[in-house]
Amino acid sequence: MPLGTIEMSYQRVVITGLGAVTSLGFGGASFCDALRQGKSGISEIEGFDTTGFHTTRAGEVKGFDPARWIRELNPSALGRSSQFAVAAARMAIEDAAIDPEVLSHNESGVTIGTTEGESQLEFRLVQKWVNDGPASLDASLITQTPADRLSVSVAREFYLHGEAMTLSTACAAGNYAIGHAYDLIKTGETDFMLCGGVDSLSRSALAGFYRVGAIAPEICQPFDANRQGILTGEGAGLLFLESLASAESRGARIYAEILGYGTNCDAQHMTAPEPSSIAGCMRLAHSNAGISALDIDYICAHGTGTPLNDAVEAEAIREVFGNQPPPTSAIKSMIGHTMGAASALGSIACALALYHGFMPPTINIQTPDPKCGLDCVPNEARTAELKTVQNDGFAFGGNNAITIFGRR
Amino acid sequence: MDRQVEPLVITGWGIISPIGIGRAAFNSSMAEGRHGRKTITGYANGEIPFSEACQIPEFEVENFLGKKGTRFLDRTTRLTVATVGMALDDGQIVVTTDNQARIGVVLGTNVGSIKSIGDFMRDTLIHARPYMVNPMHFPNAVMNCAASQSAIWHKLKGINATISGGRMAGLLALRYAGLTLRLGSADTVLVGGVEEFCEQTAWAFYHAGRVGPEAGILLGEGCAMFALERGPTAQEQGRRVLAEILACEVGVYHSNSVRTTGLQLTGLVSCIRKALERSGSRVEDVCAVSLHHSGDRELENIEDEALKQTLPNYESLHQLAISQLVGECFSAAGAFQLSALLSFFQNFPEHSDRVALLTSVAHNGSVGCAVVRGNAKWQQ
Repeated sequence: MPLGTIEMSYQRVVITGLGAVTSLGFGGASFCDALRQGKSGISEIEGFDTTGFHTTRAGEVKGFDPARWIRELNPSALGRSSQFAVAAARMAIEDAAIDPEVLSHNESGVTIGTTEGESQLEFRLVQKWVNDGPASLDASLITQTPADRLSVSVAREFYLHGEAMTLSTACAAGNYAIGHAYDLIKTGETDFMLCGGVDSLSRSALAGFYRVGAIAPEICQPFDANRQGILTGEGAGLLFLESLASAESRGARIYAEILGYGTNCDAQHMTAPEPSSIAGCMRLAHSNAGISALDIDYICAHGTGTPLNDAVEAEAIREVFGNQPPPTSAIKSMIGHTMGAASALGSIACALALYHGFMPPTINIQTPDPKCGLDCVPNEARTAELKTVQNDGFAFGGNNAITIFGRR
Repeated sequence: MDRQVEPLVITGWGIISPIGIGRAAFNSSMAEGRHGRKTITGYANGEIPFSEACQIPEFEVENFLGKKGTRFLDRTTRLTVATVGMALDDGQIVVTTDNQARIGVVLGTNVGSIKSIGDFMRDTLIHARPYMVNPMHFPNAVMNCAASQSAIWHKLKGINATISGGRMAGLLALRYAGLTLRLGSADTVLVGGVEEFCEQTAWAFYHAGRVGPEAGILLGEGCAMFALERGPTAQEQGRRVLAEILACEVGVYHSNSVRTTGLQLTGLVSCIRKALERSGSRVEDVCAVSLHHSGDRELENIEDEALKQTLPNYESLHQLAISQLVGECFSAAGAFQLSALLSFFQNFPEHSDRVALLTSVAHNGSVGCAVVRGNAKWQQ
């Protein structure tokens, strides 16, 4: 145990608000309905020119009107990722039924995870550079591009004066952000936190993943014997966190408690995941949460849908859980790989699963892969009283982050 | 009253800067006030909108990592991997299979290597098909590449985090690393910031009007990393302590209706007061301030005014403005400000058991302050 001065009285940390911007709709409630119905958010890409690509489908957010949620800042001065972040933050605050004034008069902060930040703005700048040369670039676009904008824009919209941090640990970043926010509430450093992950659909990510053979042609089917890869996606998932004492004193609805999290690094390879290191991260998360593998009732998988990633995740799960692992499903089958938002939306799925008593399905399953050896909750959501659940997040660079949630 | 926090100790320091590679070279440049200004090399005429910058052309990754396996690493990653290695060596921190899971990396950046990202995006536009990109360049275009490659090269399996903080990156990384250590999630964290010189950054800063002859500051680059540990860990391991981080506070103070500067000033004042209080230090203990001061008059005024309001003797303190020597290093600026303090404590031993402040102010309304104490027992 640490001997520092801040562990004197740790707070329990609960989730009392959810905000989701996904290809399945807006807000925690519509995300929940879609998960229970096993809906697909995959459609033809409209946000950028797909000429030359063989795959033109993604989990793109459509019909998003930023002005509906962004009130203090000028939406047109924000990139798409920052717009998503601010919108999801407003949904989470409204869902938590807390007055934003209360937030700005207390220690309140925001942590956002992302893979590519404002990639669409970066792409516009690169395109302009290629067409007209670097002297033609637009200064106002440049100043909107830094990735710290994602968290700082949320702070500015709601006048949060505490820490605003953007964690850019690729596709595990959402869990990193939730973990750090959990630490800040747990230690009493901060009273209220908005935390989660954001990314916008990225043309260069589609190109990169396609080039390495990781893009599926039509559908994403994690843990299926015939899975062919990922579909890219976009969106935001933000959670509103506070201490249990705070939630109880204001009579807030509590979706779930954050029991702990674990992060480690494979330190082996930039793109190939390492099963024993991932298993180590699961054990670390269990130990930090004060539970054992036997307590886990459901795993919200990283489950990208590539042959290698799912095999490695399944191997790590079997290493930790033995031959009868808990049901493990992949919501990327419905919304695609939302990159920095992925593990945050996974965390929201976990909170909803605990609160409403169901397991989200893995859709598009034709033949569950016997080599994975998992019950992937094929095609239809399952009613289940869950007590403790695990949410996996893994990234390029071997950055692993796993969060553990419990029912309240 | 805000609770005091447990101090953390710096036990290793690596630096690759425009005024020296390694701390001996950096220290002597600091003592002599030597400037990192150079005529830009490595670019054709017109590729960069300036003729001078604080580049580090003498940095050759092979000198640190050998010849093998570095070909596909971008400059941000090369600088980081090399500097992490220097900090480990400097602290005589030996990575073994027993301790590697307890050693982590927390890196402050803006968006990783904007050159890698920009070049990768460019490749999707200039070839016959958008996906005709070089797959070896794909991982470089992800923002966590430098921290992850540092873990791979030095076999560090502990917490590995990348923080996109721009001018605030140094302080945010220190906060993240500090909380990680205090909670016992790691024993040693290599923490710092990095910025590379490239055409993308040069044009971005040129258009934003933040560097160049008119702004009175040149664009810089480099990396500084520190081995950070809890006091008891350092003691157990018999480490030499270079300095202590006593407190670090940050916040966002931006008004969407009234002029931001007033609110940002109030915010920095409250950050400085809170940091001092949580460090257990008194105003009289402060002997120096390490400023960001990188040519933006409005931000410099906020920094100066906040320090005047909190430190009655501000004018008579040692005021370090490292950016004036190394240039605007953006997301490496905070790490260079901390480096300037380590150097100050070494070059002015009479102050080495006193405290100094490090302040950051960003265009987006963010502010922050760290309190750092020297260690009189440390002699080079």
